[in-house]
Amino acid sequence: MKEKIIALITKTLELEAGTITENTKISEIKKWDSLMHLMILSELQSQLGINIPIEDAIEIDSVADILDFADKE
Amino acid sequence: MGKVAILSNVNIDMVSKLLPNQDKVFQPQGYGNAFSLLLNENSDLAKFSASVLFFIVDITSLTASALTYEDAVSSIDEWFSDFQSCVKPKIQYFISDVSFRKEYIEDTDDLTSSRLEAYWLDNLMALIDKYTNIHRFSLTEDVNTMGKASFYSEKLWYMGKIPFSSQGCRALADHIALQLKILESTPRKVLVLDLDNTLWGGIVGELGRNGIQLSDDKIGALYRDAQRMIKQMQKHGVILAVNSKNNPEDALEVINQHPHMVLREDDFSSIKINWESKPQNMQEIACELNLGLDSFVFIDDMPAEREAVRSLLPMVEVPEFPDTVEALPEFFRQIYIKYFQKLRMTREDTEKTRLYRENAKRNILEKSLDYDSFLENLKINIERVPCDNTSEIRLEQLLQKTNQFNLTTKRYSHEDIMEMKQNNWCIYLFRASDKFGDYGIIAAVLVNTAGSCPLIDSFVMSCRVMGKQVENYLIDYVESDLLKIGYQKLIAEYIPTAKNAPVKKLYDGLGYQRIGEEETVIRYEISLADRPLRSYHIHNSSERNSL
Repeated sequence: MKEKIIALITKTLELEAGTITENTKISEIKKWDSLMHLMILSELQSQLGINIPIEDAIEIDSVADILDFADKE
Repeated sequence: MGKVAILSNVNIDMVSKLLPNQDKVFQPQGYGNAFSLLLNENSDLAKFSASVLFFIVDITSLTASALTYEDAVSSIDEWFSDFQSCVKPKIQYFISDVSFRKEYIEDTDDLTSSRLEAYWLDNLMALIDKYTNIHRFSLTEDVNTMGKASFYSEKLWYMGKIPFSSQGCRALADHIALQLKILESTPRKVLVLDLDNTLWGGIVGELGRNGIQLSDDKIGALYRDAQRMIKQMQKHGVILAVNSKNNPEDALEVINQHPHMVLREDDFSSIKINWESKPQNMQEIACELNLGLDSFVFIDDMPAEREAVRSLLPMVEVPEFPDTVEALPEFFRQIYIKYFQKLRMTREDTEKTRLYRENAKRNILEKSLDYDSFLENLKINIERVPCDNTSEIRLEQLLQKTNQFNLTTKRYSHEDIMEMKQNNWCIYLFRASDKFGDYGIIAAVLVNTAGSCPLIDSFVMSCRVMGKQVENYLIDYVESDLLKIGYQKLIAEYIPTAKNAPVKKLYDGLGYQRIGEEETVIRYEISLADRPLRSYHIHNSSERNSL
């Protein structure tokens, strides 16, 4: 699942493979703006069934946060 | 691609970002202020000067504060009145239809949401009737295909004022891109069809008339419904033809007598059922219909036949055939959207099959006579028609679509034509008929009278009447009319393009003198009082002068 999530984020942001790792922080990636953040949330839900509720979604600031959430589910 | 802007009353940035050719897509700053952007001549949008504008309207937000049907109606009225104050000529507008994300709380018999969607559509239709540069963008088609639950996203709406999910954004972007492609491509004209396993299931030569699959249920009904789709295409002006390897008697027996055939012999403007190669048949169909192969789309279930046509006649569009039979009716619908869909219809479109059938008959007659007696025998009738609301649509179409017999290839829009009329240009439109039938409006001559000497700005003629000396008569008509008005001389121009070589020497042949020659334009002049005699065979009965 971890690989799938990272691949999905990489693809949505149209970045080269390897750019996003489990240690990436959102603020480090220029393309990862608020609009793209919403797209990623929507893709996680429709493609991998990971539904992060709004109150959690606004707290997310790193790939690790997303992976943590997916683990909890 | 021209420049395009996607506007909305909600956050639509993601859709804009997903479109191809980003340098030609307006990147809005913020949302909800589309009209002020449009009205303000110093706005980023005005400076961007888009040639195509899409309005994706979210009806749920638009009517969010309305509590009653009447309140919502006045919000919709206000939107349309605001929009109309922003409409400009020379821009193509696509306005979405609407679909509620969340319907109103209503009792079973209230129907408020559905009535409001219909009210929007009525207003949109009224606009489309009024302006030729306004078109519908079918948002509801995307919603229906995907389902509301997948198309919209509550999370994205509350986090970022984006009503659509990522999938929804992608569907919208794809749909907009397709619409832009249709807007810029020249629609094809002819759909050439194979028979066995395309219009019916199985091979008639092996199974016989009663063995093929074509019926009211199961697989046979799929072929029947595919035919119904094709029949609808024909009603929208697509010319149909058959190109099939079969015994003609077997196949024609099915076409004429099978109880479940929807398409009959009369529906096809040209029929080639024989054992010749498909590319060869294709060329004969083109010849018979007098249309270029670049206006053809060919459908065949056999990969080898598709390949043969593709490799020998690359200008023919040959789409892949669906893998499963159940995809067939929708396949034909998509073929229409992709290759034939146009933004506007005129009467000539609906009558095309008849016109081209008659033309095919004319070409058979042509072979059996010497040319002058052939023309004489045709009893061609030419009549000038006034440039009014009905004929203007056809004029615009002639100017947009004519490639071969087009002396200057200036693609004028409806608004340009309105301007010409205001500037008192002499606009000549001609309708032609002959003993086989009516061709409709087939030619236009636009004469700019602004200078001291009138200028033939545009001269276009449909390829349906090419090669019949009609142009000689048309020019004579225009010249004598201008002479009557009091002009002594007439200027004409030829602007070469990749496609108008057939009329390269037209003015030379008509006795005009070359007065200037540049790479991009050749200028001619003629003295109206002493122009040469030209040969033509026109049997005119009801000429209407001085319109």
